[in-house]
Amino acid sequence: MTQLTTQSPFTTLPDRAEPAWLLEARAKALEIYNDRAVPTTAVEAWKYTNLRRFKPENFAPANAVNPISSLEALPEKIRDRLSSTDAAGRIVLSGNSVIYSDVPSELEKKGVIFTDLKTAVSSHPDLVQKYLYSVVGAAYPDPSALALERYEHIPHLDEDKFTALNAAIWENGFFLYVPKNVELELPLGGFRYLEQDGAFVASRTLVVLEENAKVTYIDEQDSPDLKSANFGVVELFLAKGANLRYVAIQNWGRGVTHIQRIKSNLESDATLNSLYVTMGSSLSRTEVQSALQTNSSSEMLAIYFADKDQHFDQQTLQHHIMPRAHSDLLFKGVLADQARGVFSGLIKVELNAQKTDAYQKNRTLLLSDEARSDSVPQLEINANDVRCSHGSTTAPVDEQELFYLRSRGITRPIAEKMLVTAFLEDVLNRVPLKNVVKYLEEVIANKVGAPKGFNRIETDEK
Amino acid sequence: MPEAIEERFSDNIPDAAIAQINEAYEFGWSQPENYTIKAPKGLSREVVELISKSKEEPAWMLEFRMKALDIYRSKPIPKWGADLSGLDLENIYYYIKPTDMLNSRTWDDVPDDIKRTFDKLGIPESERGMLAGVGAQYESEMVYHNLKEEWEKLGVIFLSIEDGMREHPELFREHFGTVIPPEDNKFAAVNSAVWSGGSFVYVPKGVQVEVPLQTYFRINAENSGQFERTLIIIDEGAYAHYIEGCTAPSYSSDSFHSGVIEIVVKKGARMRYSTIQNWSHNVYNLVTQRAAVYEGAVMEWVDGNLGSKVTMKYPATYLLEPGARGEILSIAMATTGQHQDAGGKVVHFAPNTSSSIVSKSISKNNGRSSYRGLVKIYDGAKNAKSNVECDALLLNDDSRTDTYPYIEIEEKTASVGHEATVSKINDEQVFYLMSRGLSEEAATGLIVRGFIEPIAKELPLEYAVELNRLIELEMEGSVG
Repeated sequence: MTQLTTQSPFTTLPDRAEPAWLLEARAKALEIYNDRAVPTTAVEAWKYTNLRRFKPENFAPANAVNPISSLEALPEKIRDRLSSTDAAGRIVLSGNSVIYSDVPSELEKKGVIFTDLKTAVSSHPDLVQKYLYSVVGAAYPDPSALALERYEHIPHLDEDKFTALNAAIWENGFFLYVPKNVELELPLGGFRYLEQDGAFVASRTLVVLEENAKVTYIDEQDSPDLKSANFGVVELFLAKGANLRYVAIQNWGRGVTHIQRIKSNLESDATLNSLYVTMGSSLSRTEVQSALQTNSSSEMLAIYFADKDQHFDQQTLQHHIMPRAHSDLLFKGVLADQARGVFSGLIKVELNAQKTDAYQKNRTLLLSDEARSDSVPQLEINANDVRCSHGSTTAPVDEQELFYLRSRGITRPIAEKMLVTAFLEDVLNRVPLKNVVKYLEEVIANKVGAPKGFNRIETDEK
Repeated sequence: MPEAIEERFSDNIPDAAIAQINEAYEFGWSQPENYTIKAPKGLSREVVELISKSKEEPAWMLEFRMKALDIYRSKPIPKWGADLSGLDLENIYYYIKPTDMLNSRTWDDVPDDIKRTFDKLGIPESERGMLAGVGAQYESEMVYHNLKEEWEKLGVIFLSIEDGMREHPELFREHFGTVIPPEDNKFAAVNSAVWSGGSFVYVPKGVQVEVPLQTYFRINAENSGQFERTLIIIDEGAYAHYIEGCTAPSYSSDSFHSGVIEIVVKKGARMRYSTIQNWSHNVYNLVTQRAAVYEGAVMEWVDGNLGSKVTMKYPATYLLEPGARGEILSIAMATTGQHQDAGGKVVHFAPNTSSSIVSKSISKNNGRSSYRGLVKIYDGAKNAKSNVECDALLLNDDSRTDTYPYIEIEEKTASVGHEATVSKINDEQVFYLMSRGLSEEAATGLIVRGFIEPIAKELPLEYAVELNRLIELEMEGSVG
């Protein structure tokens, strides 16, 4: 296997038994990768995240992992997750290998395909060929980039470095396909696990909803603390009238570098409700993008909590291409200790996208004097009959609220923890997935340093 | 590229379009050129020497200029912000001395054709009325500068920058180039190399200059550059309001204005700096202005950008000591072919500092207005507070607006908010006003005036009226 390096970019890809179109696409992407430099802070989109100390060449491709024989053999973290998930169908990937899969057979009867992407390439080559790279290509411009020549936010070429890398070398990920008019009640879940120290993965997930299809998909990532890297891409394609609820939970262990782009293309009348959770890794860079056609609707929610030396960088794009679409973004984050949080969001409204209704809000809570927050909420509006607004607030925990709680006999540390929890829970209230919310409450409690069962103290007392 | 987009971003506005723009621009006329010195086009060491010699400057200033010229050459044209590709820096006259009669203290001494210009602009008239002092710059030099006696008696200094350098060398040298060094940016560097004209203001401790000081800037010649440099020092506990107005004739080729404004607001003092920028639509207006604000002092920028082809201007306030406060009110109107890239910067260095930025912009036809701002709070600026509000009004379907606010916070106890909204004229409001007998045009005008009211009301009455009138002019024919 080839080493991943910046100094001597790899010139060949490993032999793969894949269709010619895919090999060709990989080769082209590799050219783009080799052509682009690792973005420096001089690149606007990387202004606040310095990759100088990140050395891709220190990582080797992940080794194959054998499927598990019984549920007990699953890594404990994953076993816990599977025992309390909303997901009715689940697949577990360790590194690039499927180690566990439990997909109800009635899905197949409805024509739903839920498998790993590598398998899908051979089992459903036509579908994969039709949709893979259609939402996130190897390089800009991607298919949704219209008339952008005079925009200020012409992405810098080097921003393509990691999408090109993923397009060239991705090994595995998930593939979900829901045919026309099929609605699934129960959520599906893809779990990704990393256990090999010093290894990297380039994971790629493709979710396709045909016309009027409806599904909930949960994307979880977990690992112990280890030196590793993930260069991820998630493509979400929603055909006319489709309805997707998507949840991404990044809870890697410390030491992981995570660079991922999640993009959704919404055809007319499609609806996306999404939640992006960032809790783990040491360096996390998430690019969340939504491209909206006529009358589509995209809800983009996020919570993040960075502590110790964690660095979370979130870049968002609400791209209104056609009229009457609606987008609503709320990113709430907590920064503790020496953590650094970056939010850079853009609402871009194209010339013809009249009647756009777009909202963007970033709220940051600072818990420490050593934490640092950078927030850049941006608008580029090219149509006049629109309603667009954005807001950004950065503040410490509210003294008045603290005072109120303390007057009720609650100690300051506990009161502070309650307020931090409430700050994030506010977003979870908008997510109707009971077990996901319960799990996230635990993750938050863990981050806040709250005693066990802390979240439910008030409800128990009622 | 689709044709519609090609057209809206074209650098070459056809003559017919210029004629149309000029119809609305009432200051588009020009006077014949009859100049004492007109340096050759382009920027060179010779031109810098010529300027320095003509001003009989001390040696350190020539040295400062030459160093700045090197800095200017070493810096690339910024890639962010407005499109500057149409700006031909070699096709500009960097120094034009219109007359030997500089800094006259009575209008009678100002040469006739220049005086006619300012008469037409109504400057001497307003001086008699409501100003403490007036300066007038024509091309590269101040041709008139006068401060009413009552203020002079109190020790207020209001001179051309050259006279300030000559008559108050120590005060001048102590502050010149300290707030905005030539290294700051490319356009501050070019100004530092070729600066000419501008004002020097000093208000002594505790003196309250209750009526405004004003300087009026006029570019007359085609392809000329104006690089005024203003230095204002408000001593402890003092107050002043300085107003700057600008116009130029309309030509088919571009002129270039790049001023540098340095302000020092000492302990407990308050300064207000107002700009009504109404350059003709062929001027590149790239200005650097910054105030250093000390303990408990207040700096207020009122920045109105109506004219020019391209403006890049972000009044900056550095809150250096505890309790300092900064306010920026920015209003921009962009119509056909214009890009107003305006906004503001506030940097909090000290505890208990506070700031507020309110920006209102109106985009008409294919005009583009952008808010670009920075709020930075350094570690240790305990309890710093900042609030930013940006509202944009879009009048036509091809109007455009952007918001690029940067919020950088290193201090836990800081509290920072930013809000922006974009909307078009509310149909219901127009309908309501029309049902009361207003024409659609009058109704729209009224709504626009209401939109900018929070900023217009901060201007002295005469200027608020002027601002409203200018906006009305720009709005003419906007309905239908």
